[in-house]
Amino acid sequence: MFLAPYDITPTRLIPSRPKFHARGILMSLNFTLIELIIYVAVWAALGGLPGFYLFGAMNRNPRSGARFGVVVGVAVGLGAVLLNLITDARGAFLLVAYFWLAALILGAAVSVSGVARGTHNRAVTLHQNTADIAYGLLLPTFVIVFAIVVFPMIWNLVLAFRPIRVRDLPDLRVFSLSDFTLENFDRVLGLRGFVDTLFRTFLYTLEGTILAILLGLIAALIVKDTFRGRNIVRGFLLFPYIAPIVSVVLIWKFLLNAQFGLVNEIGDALGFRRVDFLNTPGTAFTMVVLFQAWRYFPFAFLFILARIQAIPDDMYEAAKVDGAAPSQRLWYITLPQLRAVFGTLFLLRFIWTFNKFDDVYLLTGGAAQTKLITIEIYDQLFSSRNVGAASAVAVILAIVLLIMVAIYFRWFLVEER
Amino acid sequence: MNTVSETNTTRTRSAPRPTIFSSREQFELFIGSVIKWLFIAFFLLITAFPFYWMLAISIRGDGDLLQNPTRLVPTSEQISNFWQPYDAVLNDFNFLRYIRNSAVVSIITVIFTLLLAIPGAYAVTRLNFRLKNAMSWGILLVYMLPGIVIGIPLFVVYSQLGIRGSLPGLVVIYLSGTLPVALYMLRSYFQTIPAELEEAALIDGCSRVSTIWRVVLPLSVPAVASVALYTFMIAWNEVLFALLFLSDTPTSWTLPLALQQLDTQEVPRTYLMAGSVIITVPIIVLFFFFERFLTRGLTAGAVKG
Repeated sequence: MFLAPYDITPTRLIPSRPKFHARGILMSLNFTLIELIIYVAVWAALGGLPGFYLFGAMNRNPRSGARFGVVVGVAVGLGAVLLNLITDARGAFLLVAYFWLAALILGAAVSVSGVARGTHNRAVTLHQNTADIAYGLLLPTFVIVFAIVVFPMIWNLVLAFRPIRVRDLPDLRVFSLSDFTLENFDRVLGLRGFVDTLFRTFLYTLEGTILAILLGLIAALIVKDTFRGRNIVRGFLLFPYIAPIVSVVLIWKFLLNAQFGLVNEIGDALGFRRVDFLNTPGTAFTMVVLFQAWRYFPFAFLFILARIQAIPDDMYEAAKVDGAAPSQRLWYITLPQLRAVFGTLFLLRFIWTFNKFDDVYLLTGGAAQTKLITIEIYDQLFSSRNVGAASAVAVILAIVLLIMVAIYFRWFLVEER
Repeated sequence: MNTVSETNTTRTRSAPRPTIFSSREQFELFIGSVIKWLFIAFFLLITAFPFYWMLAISIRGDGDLLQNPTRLVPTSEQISNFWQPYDAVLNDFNFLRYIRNSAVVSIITVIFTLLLAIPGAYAVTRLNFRLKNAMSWGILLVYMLPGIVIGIPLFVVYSQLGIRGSLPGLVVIYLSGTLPVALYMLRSYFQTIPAELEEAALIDGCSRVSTIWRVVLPLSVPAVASVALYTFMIAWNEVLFALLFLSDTPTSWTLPLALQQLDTQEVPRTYLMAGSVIITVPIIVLFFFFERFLTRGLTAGAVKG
């Protein structure tokens, strides 16, 4: 397996210079409107956060603290630009660090000396006070998730409409909206086999999900009653799910290897032809689906087992009294009780499998007709070095997923009664 | 239940009549247990054997692997020399460094996840505020987002900020993935703790934060342990973002990335398996120590009743 960037000499990889380029995000007054808005918003957050907590610690209204902090933060941010203080990324990080340190020292001094100590927010209702505590407890999480997940998700949509190559990155104005184009989508939709990739991803997801749930069901049924060694078996059943993906992929590759793979040796002994499973179109796809089922059945197993153990015993006893045989108890009691779990599991696993990248990438690298949408994204980014096209594929992935989830909710959802 | 008895009479199978089995019940129980043990054998084969095979190959040389592909048990000579491939991987291939990187990243991720998620989950469970429902839904939504999609903009911004190859930058990304999971797991556990306990503490003059520290936390040790473990596993096993961000800075490779990069024709197969063992063993050991917590934690809240 090779990693795309390595076909060129490592020094000419995607340039990631440790310093800001002069025409980078922050430098100079040459802001576009959107850049200015984002810059101000970031500094507002950088100031508002400590303001909120400091005023809370000083027994004052945290909300006015946040407002105060926003003003200070924006002032510092704009001042830094005007005075040309930020020249590179390091400078920016340092400025933020000093700013927060100053806020901390100031706040500590004030609250220790008691100068500005408030009288526990007389004007504030208990309701608002509770809410303030809740926001205080949740804010850091919210900031991280927003900055790393939500905002990039939205920004991805913008990137998809801009002509950006990896080599443009150092000089790129990230938050520019001026160069909109449809060429990325044009390029992506015109890729040979793109529709096949979409369809293959769907098939892979569907088959993998159903197989994983089926295996999980069987596993749950065999360990639901006690027997000697049950705990050990249950422990082993979780192995494929908890083990690191890289190592289980390597094990599979070894077992399926054409020269020394155990599967081929056994097949050889039984008189079958040797097959290079992971490099032959057809078998490669089957293996990828089987891998998916193997790796994720423990997840389904855990959910199903928990639900099975929650089925009241009297139902089985009543059925037994009525003369239902074990197979009938399984078919008419256990399985109907599991319907809702199947529904939830199917949805969860479907979404996660559809979004899955590493499993198949590590197994086949997308060769031998196993390329999935997520692998296409990676290839666009690292082989074609086309950020815009990668984003465009990502947008298509998100849209297809949304449509399928909507269809599921509209027609296939099984509610727990 | 009516339907059950009806079908019993209408749908009879051609079960062999009383010679050995006195009733259909007995017959099916027998067949059922045969099938059950067959499946137990099957599942043990597909779950335990691959890991045994990894261990076995890791101590056999490449030449032996090619000559005797079906040798199931390593020779005693190979067993007595078992340390040689591990030594090579750890020292010649810099695995000590990668182990350190991975351990640091995972442990810091765990610490920050717990620090942020415990108060957060408490807030979402116990306190009333206007955005509460939106927050709960947001957590679920973040669960569903594809990693590689947010990877692209992050790749762009990280490249510009010059922090693409840095481990702290990676930790922040891991946090954004583990926090929603942790919040979700902890929230469903906190809901099972009676609110009266905390109210008593509040009336006695505890602040919210000290209530969490003195009352909620001691009661939720199992949940916290399972979250810690689960978070550790996520960070320890993660390969996508490591691949996207670290692949051209070998000094900051994590273990999974290092192993992925080593998987080329030139590196002896044995060493790859030794590397796999090195990654897998900590996870398996942790898992066996904390299995009870973990299995409960994984399904917490997702299954009603």
